[in-house]
Amino acid sequence: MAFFVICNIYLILFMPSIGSGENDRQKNIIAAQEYIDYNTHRQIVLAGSSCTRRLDSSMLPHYIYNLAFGGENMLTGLEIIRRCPVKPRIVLIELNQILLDMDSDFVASLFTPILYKIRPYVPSLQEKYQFINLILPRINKTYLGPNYYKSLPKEQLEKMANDENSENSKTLNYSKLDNHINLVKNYINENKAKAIKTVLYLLPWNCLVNNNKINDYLRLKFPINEYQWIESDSCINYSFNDLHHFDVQGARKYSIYLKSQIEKLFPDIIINRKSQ
Amino acid sequence: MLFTQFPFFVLLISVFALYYLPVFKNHQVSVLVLGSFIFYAYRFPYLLLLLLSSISINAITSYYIFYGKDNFRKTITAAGVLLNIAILVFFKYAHITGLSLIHIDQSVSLFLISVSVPVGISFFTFHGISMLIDLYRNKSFKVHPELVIKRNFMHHWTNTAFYIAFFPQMIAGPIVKSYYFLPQIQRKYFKDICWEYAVTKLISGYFLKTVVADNLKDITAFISYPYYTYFSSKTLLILLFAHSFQLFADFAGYSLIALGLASIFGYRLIDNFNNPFISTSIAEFWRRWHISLYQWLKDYLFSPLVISLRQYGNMGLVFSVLTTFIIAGAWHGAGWAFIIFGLIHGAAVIIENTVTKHIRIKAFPGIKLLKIVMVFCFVTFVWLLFKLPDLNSDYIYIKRMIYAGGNIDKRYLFFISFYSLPVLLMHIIYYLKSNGYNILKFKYIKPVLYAVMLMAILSNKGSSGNFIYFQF
Repeated sequence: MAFFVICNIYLILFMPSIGSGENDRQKNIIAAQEYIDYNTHRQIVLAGSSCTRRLDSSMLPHYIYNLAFGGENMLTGLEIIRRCPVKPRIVLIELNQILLDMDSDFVASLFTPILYKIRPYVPSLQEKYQFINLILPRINKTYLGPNYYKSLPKEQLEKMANDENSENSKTLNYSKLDNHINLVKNYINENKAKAIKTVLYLLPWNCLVNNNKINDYLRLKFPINEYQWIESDSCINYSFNDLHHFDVQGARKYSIYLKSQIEKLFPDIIINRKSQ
Repeated sequence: MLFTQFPFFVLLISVFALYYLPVFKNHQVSVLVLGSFIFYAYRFPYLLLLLLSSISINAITSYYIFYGKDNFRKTITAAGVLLNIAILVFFKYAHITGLSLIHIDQSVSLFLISVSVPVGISFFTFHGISMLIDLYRNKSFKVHPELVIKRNFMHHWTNTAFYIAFFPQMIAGPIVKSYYFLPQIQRKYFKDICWEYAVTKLISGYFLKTVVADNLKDITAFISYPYYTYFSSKTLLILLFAHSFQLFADFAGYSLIALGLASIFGYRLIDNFNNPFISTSIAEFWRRWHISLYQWLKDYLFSPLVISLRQYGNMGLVFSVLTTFIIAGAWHGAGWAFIIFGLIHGAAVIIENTVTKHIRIKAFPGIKLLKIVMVFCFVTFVWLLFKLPDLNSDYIYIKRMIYAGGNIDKRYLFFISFYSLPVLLMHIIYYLKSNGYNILKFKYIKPVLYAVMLMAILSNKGSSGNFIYFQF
C-alpha cells in the first residue's frame, strides 16, 4: 500500500515525461483512457482502425482527436463515444476494416465499474504511467533505436496481395457485412439525435490490393445523398509499409489531405479556432 | 469468464460470502457447484449442457462401479472411460475431420467444421476418467481405500459435479486425482483459511499472468505471419525465448491463482509447476512442467502400458514412452503439429535415457548450467509448434532464423528482458535455495517482494486476455 501511495504522490507532484506506448495495444489503451478520463468537449473525433491510428498527429490540428485503434475497427471507437457523457461535435468514421468485430472485452476493460471513475485521480492506474513508459524516455534512444513500423519487402507484398485479391474476388460475407453496416447506421442515427455530425471516409490502401468490391458495396449502402463522405484520394499518391498501412511519409501526406478535406467541409471550424 | 475480469470478482465475493454463511453450512458444496456452473456458462450458456452431461455420465458410471455388481465393474469402467474419450475426441477433432470431408459430404463436413472446442474440455474429461479408474482400482485392488462415494445418488452426483466443475481447476487444471480431492469434501470453516498461503499464491499468480504473460503477449504476437518476415535472425530467436517465458508465466500464473482460490474455500490442489527451466534433462523437465498432466499420464497410461508390454523388454518401454508422449501432444490440440510435438519429446526422452546409460560424460565446471541451457533451448524450439501449428509456417520461421541475418532489434531485446526478468529471478532464487543459499530467509525480503508484485499488478498489467491453456 505504501508503495502505491508513494508512487502516486510522485506522479501527481512531478508529472514525469512518458512514452507514448511501445506497442499497438498500449497505444490503444492510452488513447482510449485519455479520451474517457479527460472527457471534455472535442470538435472532431476519428473512429477507425490501425489505418487511421497511424496518421501523423503532428499534421492533424489539435481539435481532432484520434480514437482509432490498431487491431480494431470503427465500432470500438463508436462504442466508446456512445458511453462517454460528453459528446464531440463531429465524428469521422473510417470504414476500411468494417468486417472486424468490435472488441467488447477491450471496451469493458476501459469501463470497469469503480475503477474507471477513480482512474483519472490515481495516475498509477493509467496505462501511460506504467513503469515501462516512465523509464523508456530516460533510456538513450540511440541505444534502443527508433520505434517505427517496418516495411515488407516487395516480393512479400506481391505474394500477399495475390492472396488477398484472390480472397476478395470470392463472394463477400454479406450477412456479417450488413450486420456491421446496420450497427454503424445505428450509431450514426443515435449521434444525429444528439446533434453530432458524422462523416464517412475510406483510406486508400496499397495499389496492389483490389478491394473495390467491398468499397463499392459500402458506397451503395451509405449513399452520398444521405451520408456525408470525405472525398477519396488515389493510392498512387501515397507510400505504404504493407498492404493496408501508410509508411511515415504516406501517413504525413494523408493527414494533411484529411485536414484540408475537413476544413473544406466545415469551414466554421477554422473560424471558431481563430476566434478563440 | 476470466480470473482477471470484473464479473469474476463479483461472482467470487458472492460465492465466498454465501459459502461461509451459517445458514448454508450444510450446503457448501452446492454453493460452490452453483458458482462453478455460473462461471462456466457465463459466456456460452449452452456449454452448460455439455458439462452437465459429462458430470452425469461420470456420476452414474462411478456409482455403479462402486455399488454395482462385481462382474460388471470392469465393463462399466471401460464404458465410462470410452464415453469420456469419445466426447473429448469428438470436440477436439470435429473441425479437422470436417475439413477433410469437405469434398465428400458437404452437409456433414459443414456441421463438423462449425463445432468449436469447449473451454476446459481436456481438463474436466480427464477428471472424469481419473475418478472412474481410481474407483475401479479401489474396489478391485483395494488401492486408495480413502476414496469412498456417497450411497445417496443425488449427494454423490453433487460431489461428482463439484470434483469435475470446481471453478478454480475446471478450465485449465491442475488435474487433481479423485483420491486426492474427494476425501477433502467436508464442512469448511472461515477460521481455518490459511490466509498467508492463499494471498501469496494469488499475488504470485496474478503477477505472473497479468504483468509478465500479458505484456509478453504483445511482443510474441509477432510470431505470426506475415509479421515474422520483418525481423532479423537474432530478433526471431529472442521472440522464441519470450514465448517460452510467456507460456510459463501464463500457465503457472493460472495454476497459482487456482491454488489460491481453492484454498480460500478450504481445498488443497496440487502444485503444477516446479521451476521447470532449471531442468537438466528432458525427463526432469516433464517432472517439473504441468506436473498434474505428467502424473495423470504416468498413472493411467504409461504405467499400465509398461506393465502390459513388459514381455517385450526395451521395445515395450520405447513404445510406451512414445505412445504416452504422442497422446500428450494430441491432448493439446488437433493437428500434425501437436502429434509431432509429442513425438519429438518422446524421442528426446528415449535418446537421452540411452545416451546417459551408455556414455559417461566427465563432469566439468559448468556442466549443469550447460545442460540447463540445452534443455531450455530444446523446449523453446519445440514450442514453436504450439505457437505456429501450421508446419509450413514453422519451416519458414526456422529458415528465416537461420538465414535472414541482420542485427538484433534492441527495442524488443529490452522489452523481452524486462518482462522475462521476474521468471528468471524466480528460477535463480529457487536454484540458489536448492544449493543452500536461501536469500529469502532475510526478514523483510519476502514482504517487500510481494508488495512490489502487488504494485505491479495494479499499475503495470498487460491487456486482459485468455489464458493460453484455455484453448486446450
